[in-house]
Amino acid sequence: MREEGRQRLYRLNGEALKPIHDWVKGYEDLWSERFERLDAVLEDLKEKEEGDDGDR
Amino acid sequence: MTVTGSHKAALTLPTDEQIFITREFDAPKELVYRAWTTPELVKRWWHANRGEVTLVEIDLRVGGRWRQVMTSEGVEVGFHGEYREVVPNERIVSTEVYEGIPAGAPGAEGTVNTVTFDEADGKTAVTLLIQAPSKDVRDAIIESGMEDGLRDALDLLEGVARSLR
Repeated sequence: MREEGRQRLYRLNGEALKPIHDWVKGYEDLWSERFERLDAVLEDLKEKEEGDDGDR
Repeated sequence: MTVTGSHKAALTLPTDEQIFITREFDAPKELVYRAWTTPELVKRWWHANRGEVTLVEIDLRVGGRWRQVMTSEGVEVGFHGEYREVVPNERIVSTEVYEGIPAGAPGAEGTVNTVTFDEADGKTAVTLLIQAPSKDVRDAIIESGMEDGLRDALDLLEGVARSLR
């Protein structure tokens, strides 16, 4: 019953993908929020570096 | 790999025991590395707006230890580990143990995390590979990021998906 096996695989792709996405979303959001904060830290570091260059 | 304009983190699951996250930053890799490894700077971003980072200790050398504690709504969560490989501005390999797991319980041995910093045209791509000892531990880490509401919604979705089979 190879045909049936393939059919089942197709259904998993169609219907199980969304739950998988929702399942990882919280963890992905955690890192997205960390990285947004990190963006802000990097902006500060860049400004500081430019400021230091200006003093030379 | 493309990175969207909003700099959204991309998460994939390369194997059953892994989590892979990548994100591009608009800064040279020396600065990203500094922000990643300097305690005062880590305190500013690691909380992900979910609490306050109350402790960051980083002994950045092979065999050196690190520890980070976050307080969120009165609950303290701690993580620690050891550095296995340190290549400044390029790559850090470290272990990570979540302190909420009792010693000897599944997952207590923690994960091995590899962070890389790759610069091109003044932008730095950071990749983070989390290698868990088993699929169960990997899944528990992912679920730790889930809010209760989402967990409920997911249970519901799973029920729906099951009924459609």
